[in-house]
Amino acid sequence: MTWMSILVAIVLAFNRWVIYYFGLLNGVYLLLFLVSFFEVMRFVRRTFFSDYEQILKSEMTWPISIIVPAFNEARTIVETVRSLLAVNYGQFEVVVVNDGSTDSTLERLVETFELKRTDRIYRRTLPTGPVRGIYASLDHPSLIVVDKEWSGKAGALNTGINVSRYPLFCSVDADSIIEENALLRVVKPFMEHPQEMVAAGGIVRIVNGCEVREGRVVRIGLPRKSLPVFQVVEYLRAFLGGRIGWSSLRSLLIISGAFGLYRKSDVIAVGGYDGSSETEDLELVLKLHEHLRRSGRKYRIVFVPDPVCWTEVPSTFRVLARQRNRWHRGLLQSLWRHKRMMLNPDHGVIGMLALPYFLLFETLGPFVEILGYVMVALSYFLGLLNVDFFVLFMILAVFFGVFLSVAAVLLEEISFRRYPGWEHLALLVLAGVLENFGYRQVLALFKVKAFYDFLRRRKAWGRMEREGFRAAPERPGAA
Amino acid sequence: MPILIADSDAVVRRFVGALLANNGYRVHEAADGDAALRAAAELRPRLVLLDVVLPGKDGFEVINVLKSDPVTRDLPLMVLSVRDREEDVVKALGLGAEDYMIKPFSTRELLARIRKILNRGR
Amino acid sequence: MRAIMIQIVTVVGALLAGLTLAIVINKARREMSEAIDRRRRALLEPAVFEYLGAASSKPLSGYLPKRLSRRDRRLVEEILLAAARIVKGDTRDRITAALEGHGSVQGAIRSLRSRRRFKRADSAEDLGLMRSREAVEPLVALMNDPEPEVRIRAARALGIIRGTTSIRPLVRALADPSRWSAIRVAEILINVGAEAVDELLAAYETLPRHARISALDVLGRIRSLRAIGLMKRCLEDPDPDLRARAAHGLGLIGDSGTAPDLIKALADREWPVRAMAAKALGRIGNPAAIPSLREAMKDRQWWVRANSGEALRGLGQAGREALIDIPFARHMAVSQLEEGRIIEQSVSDLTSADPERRAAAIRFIDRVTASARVDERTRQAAEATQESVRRALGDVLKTPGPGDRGRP
Repeated sequence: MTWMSILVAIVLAFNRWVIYYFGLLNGVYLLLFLVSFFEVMRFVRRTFFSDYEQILKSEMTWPISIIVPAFNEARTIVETVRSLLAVNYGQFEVVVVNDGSTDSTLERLVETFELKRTDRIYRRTLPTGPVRGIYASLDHPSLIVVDKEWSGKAGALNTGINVSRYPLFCSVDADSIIEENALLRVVKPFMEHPQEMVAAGGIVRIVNGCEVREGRVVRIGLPRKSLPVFQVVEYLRAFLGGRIGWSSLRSLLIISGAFGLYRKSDVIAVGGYDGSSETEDLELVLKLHEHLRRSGRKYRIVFVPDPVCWTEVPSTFRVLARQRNRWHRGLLQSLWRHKRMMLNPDHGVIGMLALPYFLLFETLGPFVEILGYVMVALSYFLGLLNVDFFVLFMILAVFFGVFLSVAAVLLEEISFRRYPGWEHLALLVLAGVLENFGYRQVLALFKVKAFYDFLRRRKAWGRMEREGFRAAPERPGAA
Repeated sequence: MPILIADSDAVVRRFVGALLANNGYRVHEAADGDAALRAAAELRPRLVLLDVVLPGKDGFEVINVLKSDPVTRDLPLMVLSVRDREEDVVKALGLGAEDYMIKPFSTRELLARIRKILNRGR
Repeated sequence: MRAIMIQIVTVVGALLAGLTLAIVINKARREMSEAIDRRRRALLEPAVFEYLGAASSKPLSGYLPKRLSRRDRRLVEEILLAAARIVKGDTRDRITAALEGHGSVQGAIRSLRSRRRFKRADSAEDLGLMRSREAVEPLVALMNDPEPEVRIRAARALGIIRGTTSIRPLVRALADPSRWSAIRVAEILINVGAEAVDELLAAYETLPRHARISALDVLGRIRSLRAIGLMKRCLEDPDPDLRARAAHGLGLIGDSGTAPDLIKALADREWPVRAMAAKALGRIGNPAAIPSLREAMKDRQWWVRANSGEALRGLGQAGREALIDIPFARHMAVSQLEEGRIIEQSVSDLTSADPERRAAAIRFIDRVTASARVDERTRQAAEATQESVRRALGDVLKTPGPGDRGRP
């Protein structure tokens, strides 16, 4: 056999496997979409306006501690806290944790809300970095500000958990906007299944292009730039087409750090947020799953599609690359840490379906995709490319890609309809088509790069830990 | 001079608006805190009927702003809200609202209270 | 191979086109329907509102156009139900009458038998808003629905309609095996209020244990004086949960004549009972409880100490004084004074025009300092507030108070 024939054999084999892979991937997506579709319909019918009124007025409603880690957020922190204090909910407190900011985050808070130092007593249930002081406001009894030395977002959240008073806590990013009724909506599953509920996440929508006044979205719109518009479609697909489906299969693995509600005692039981994880939100949910599955308790971790958290997404490639790199490294890190759950029948759908899905499609997918393009070029030069077939295959791939995006837009249209105009609809569908030419490929490249970084860092970390160093502080609130 | 109704719920605005209109008052509606403040400054209404739960600037803030501005300080304010907690009522009255009614409300009672406030101002 | 591929592509393409078309058609239809709704609503709403505001006995149909389409009938029902959420009294009765005349009540009763549970729940909910007595019997029957969500909505509707016939099944539903349903039923009964008391007292003995706990809670939160006898008896019950609930309930009712019973409960074997008794004593505000509460600050259980501290804080001057020089649980005592902003209050009283208040404030701060409790806040208040306060506070802190010898 010549070199050539070996190469030809490899290329042909790869091409065949790619077709299988492609079929499987889209089959799974389609299935997930169908599950999501029925779940959304069920959700819409099950939603009674009066339930929220009841939750608002009932004395049985769980009080909530909203925890806001803040690192150099002087620009927006006052507005964020104002809008959080105005949230429509019965009993709640806002715990801002100033995570060693080097700007005037603390000063601005102290000034605006007339904060005073108190010696509030709290239990250090979770280990965290040193706290410099706790501040309270006379005019706003439900606001507490904790000033601590820098320890990263996970440490800040853990401090917030320690200081918080209530049995449920809600993590909120300092630069995100929570809709007025979001707490009422996200707490609802806790009211319905008080014994079983452990965590609930809401939907994250993109604020770029919306008009914001005084920490409130007053007019919803789509971003002007193309990069954020692609992300709008991507987020719709991820939340409405993905998380709803996973949630109804009882294997939701991601609750966005930007907005999630947790039962404090369970989070404490797994040791709180993990400071060594790149994506502490994902790691926490996985830890909760592993712990609760092992304990054999009946539990629920769900996604609730209508409480909205508005967040700003990167509008430049550079920032997007950094964000995705971190996300993907975090995913790889968590998959690696919880590898025992993988294909473990004890972990039910999570072990047998959700985790393999993340490994097979989220982790390996980008490689297959990038390699696929290389192989196409190679096939062409080797004269192996059946041009007809190739063109058809590409059309099919694009069709499927568009299909999933359009399907997500459909879910949005039949349920929540946050984007009211026809021009929004047209733009979203257009973005669903165009993202297949460039945006997706770039995302795949980001992920391949993240995989490489992950392998490199793992080595680096091992070394540093032995020498007693901590990883150099990256901006903790990035994303 | 009209009566200003500030409520986020369109049904409440229209219902109370129709009620007052049928009783010979002129009515102006505002859907959020900022609109209420603007209307209060421009129209110089004889009474503001507002909910404490308003999007944007909430009702308490609206009361605060109106009561601390010398131009609108004497403008009578009345709260009409589903919030029935003692703290809310005490806070609103403490900030200077003339009266506080809880939804659901009796229409006759609402009219009687409005009449009383307007007569007092005369 | 190629042919299959072409077929697949065509199918997926058609699916895609279908999906897009579905979105567009769905949106167009909805928007059109909404536009018509808006137009008709603008016409119907003033008529309905006029009927509601009128005092005459003319029925609603007299105000509406002669011929109503199905859409119109639905809209009228929607308008009436929306109005039902915001009014009470006379207008509310007019809404009920209109809905009965309009056929809405009968329609909703019919849909209670629907096979779809959402529909049953929805109709039960609407019937509550409609408040028609005609619905009581069908709703009581619905309390046996296999679906808990439906049962709870039936219960809520009955709670809104009220009357003995609707309250009795609610009291029985306190025994619902699902704890959560029971809690929600309890809440409904609390909203019913005084009307539910007699039924609850009469049924108490027949209820199972967990329902009794809920019943005591409900009676306490309704704050019915008629329940005091039962609560006192329950303080002697062998079941500690019932004793704790009863103590809590007495606190909610707030009759200061029950203080002796609660003081006795403060020495209960079980700490939850003690904690609840302490809390209750704080609520009813009888100063006779101060010595016992002071004693309870020694309790081994954190909750009992916390509740006792809070209770003392609420018991006026005497209670606060008891907190200052408490020899145990100092941290707790001071945090109570802190949270109640009592220290702060005294600091600002230092510049009061009233000499008596000033003297009282000086005495108070003196004693706080004497028990070595010059805390962060006091110092800070001295730094932050206006000049005169700062000076006055400085003076107090400089002159050694009578208890200064005790300073470590």
